[in-house]
Amino acid sequence: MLIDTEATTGALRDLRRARRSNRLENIHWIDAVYRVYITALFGAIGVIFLIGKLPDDKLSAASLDKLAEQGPAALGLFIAVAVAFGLRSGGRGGPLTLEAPVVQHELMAPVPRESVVRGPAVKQIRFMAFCGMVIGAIIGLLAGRQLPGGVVGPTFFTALTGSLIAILATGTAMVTSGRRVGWWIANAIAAVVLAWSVVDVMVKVRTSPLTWLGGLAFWSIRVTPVALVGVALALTLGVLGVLGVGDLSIEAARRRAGLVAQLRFAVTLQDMRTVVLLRRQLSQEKPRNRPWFGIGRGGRMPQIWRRDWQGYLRFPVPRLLRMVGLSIVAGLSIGAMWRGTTAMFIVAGLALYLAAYDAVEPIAQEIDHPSRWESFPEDSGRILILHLPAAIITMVVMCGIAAASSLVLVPGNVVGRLALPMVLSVACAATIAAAVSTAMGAPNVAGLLGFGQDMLGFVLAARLVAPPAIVVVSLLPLLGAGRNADAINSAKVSNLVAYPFFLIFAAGMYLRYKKPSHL
Amino acid sequence: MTDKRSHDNTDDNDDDDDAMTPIPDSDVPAGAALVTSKLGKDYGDGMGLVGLDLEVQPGELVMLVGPNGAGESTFLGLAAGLIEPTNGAAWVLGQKIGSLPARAGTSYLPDAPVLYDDLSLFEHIEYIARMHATQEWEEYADDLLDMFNLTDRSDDLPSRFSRGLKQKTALILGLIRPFSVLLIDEPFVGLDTPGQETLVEVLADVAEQGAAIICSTHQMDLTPKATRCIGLRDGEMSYDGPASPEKIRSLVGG
Repeated sequence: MLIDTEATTGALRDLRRARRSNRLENIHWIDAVYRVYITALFGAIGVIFLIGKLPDDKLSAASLDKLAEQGPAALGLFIAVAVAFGLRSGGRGGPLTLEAPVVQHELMAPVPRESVVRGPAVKQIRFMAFCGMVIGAIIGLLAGRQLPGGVVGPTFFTALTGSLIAILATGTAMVTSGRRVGWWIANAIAAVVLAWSVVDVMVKVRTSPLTWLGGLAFWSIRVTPVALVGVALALTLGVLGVLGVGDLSIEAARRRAGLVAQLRFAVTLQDMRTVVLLRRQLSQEKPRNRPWFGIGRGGRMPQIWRRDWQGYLRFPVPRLLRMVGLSIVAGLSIGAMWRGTTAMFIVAGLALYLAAYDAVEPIAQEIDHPSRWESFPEDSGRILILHLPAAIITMVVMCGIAAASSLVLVPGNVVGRLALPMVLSVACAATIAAAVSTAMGAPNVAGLLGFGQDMLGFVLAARLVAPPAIVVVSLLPLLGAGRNADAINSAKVSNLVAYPFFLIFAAGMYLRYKKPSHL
Repeated sequence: MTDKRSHDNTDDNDDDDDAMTPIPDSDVPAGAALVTSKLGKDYGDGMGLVGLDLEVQPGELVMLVGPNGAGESTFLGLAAGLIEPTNGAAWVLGQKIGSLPARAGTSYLPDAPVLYDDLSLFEHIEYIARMHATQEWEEYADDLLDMFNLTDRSDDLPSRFSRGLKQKTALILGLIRPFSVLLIDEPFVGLDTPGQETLVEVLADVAEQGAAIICSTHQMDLTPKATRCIGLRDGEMSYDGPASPEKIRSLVGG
């Protein structure tokens, strides 16, 4: 018996054509154009805002020389992080996110699998390259104002580099997935890639191909022909990824298909807790079977407090690393803020907000299990509040890590004087913000329709923005410290810290008296 | 199956060897529809299936039963090639599961219907039949639509159907293409009584035509038609013998 794969592949092509045609018939073009317009408008406003916040003095010749000398290695390290993410994703069956019917009906049909996945793979790599290009172009546009010769050159080369970074990372993930490289091996390779780039940064050499690729972004300052090797590497991995991804794991594709569909739905609903849970399932992040160490049974320790710490002690390594990583990002962003890029305090606030999402896991566990909750004699708000101290202590540690990381860019005496008044308030703000967001759950759109169609969008946006805004606001007192390292106004910062506590108190009251929507 | 829905016989196109995938011989027991050898799945936090040895012959209608979490869905997923075994192996008509020829011979229906959002019922039928190189599928499609009372809905989007109608759609899609092994996970869930009766008759008919059917269900109506019952418990085979309502009750509840 023979299978006519040409006929079956032809049927697959016809199926895709029919789906595309049906989708196009159902597009509301006015809505689509309006969405593009709104996205472009807000994007442009954001870029103009950022341009206004950045210093526009031209760099001195010495600074330019230093940038051209050290920039490629620093960018190479960033590329290494992107490649490491790609390896990690590929080791777990990513990055392709096929739809469930594609897995069920197309990958299980007698059609060569490379024919099934090549189209989605090309589409994904194209989309990632476009995103990389846009991000690169924005960075080039912002940085170009400080460089001689206008913004066109820097914008072109950073856009090109951004696009190639995306192709490299996605291609690496596809090669890893198509070759069925195991999770541990992929992580080991990622560690080597990262270590190589760290060595380049520390020793100030250019040995890694990723450093060479990073050099392309600086071609408007200094042309380094070796960057072409990095370009060739990125393109080769992109092509190999698309060609080899047909051998991907069907089990992983099926798992991802189900989870990604739910994830998109949860994002649409703005249900951040569900997004967090699905994200963990997607990366197969499970609590440890055994805690890192036991804290014993009995004793006088309050039960909620004990349960919180038992939960933290089962945190898996990736979650702990993510929290520490986000704290380091927050610290470096604060450092950049000190150095003059004021808007970076928003990045710092968002990083700490995301770290706090893991810190409030014990609270989230309560909210996730309404049947257990209803059996408690205590009222719900009180239980949530009792969970906060452990989460705040965890975030104090994370804020401490952020403060230590900021030492890379901020003088030690400045960090020493500002960390003390700031750490507790920022830790409290991040914890309460993440707890409120978790407790809010998905918005009740039907109920919100009472505001009217026009207001609904603003209310939904406010629900999404309010919790992280609490953390961002808690960082504002840093702006009162002044820019002179020898005359830091820590007293003013300490006074300003009182204001975010009003917000924290209000959010705490919300948590105390508003029953979580899941219940 | 050797009925009118058989795969395209491509004798006329023998010169186009590149487009043809020959089905090779195998060392596994000849004539068996499905063979598993020490087939197992370790999920990391527990065993889904433990070293299952099984041989299912063409024409057998096997009821797969067990309490919740016994490993029925894992077994069906493994046999379909959707779940990768951590040990052992399985073959469909002598072909390693997951291979192109094995995929051509295996029809699998998961417990929840999986349908495209943007294709009508008839488009689903057409493209799935064609992706399996099915000949003369149109007449059989009309028969199946008629049997499951979906003729009037063939131009509608199944994604907007009720759970029961989605289940009927999934059943039609599982049956429209040729297969030697039919693996079905809880097919009676959501079906109305006429739909359940139709399904029992269709499954018996398909088995009579020579396909091997493995159906995970606790539906007693299928018992008289079943030629064999396999019980699973904690991922291991707990029973292999004739099907009877008493036996199924004891396997599920006992």
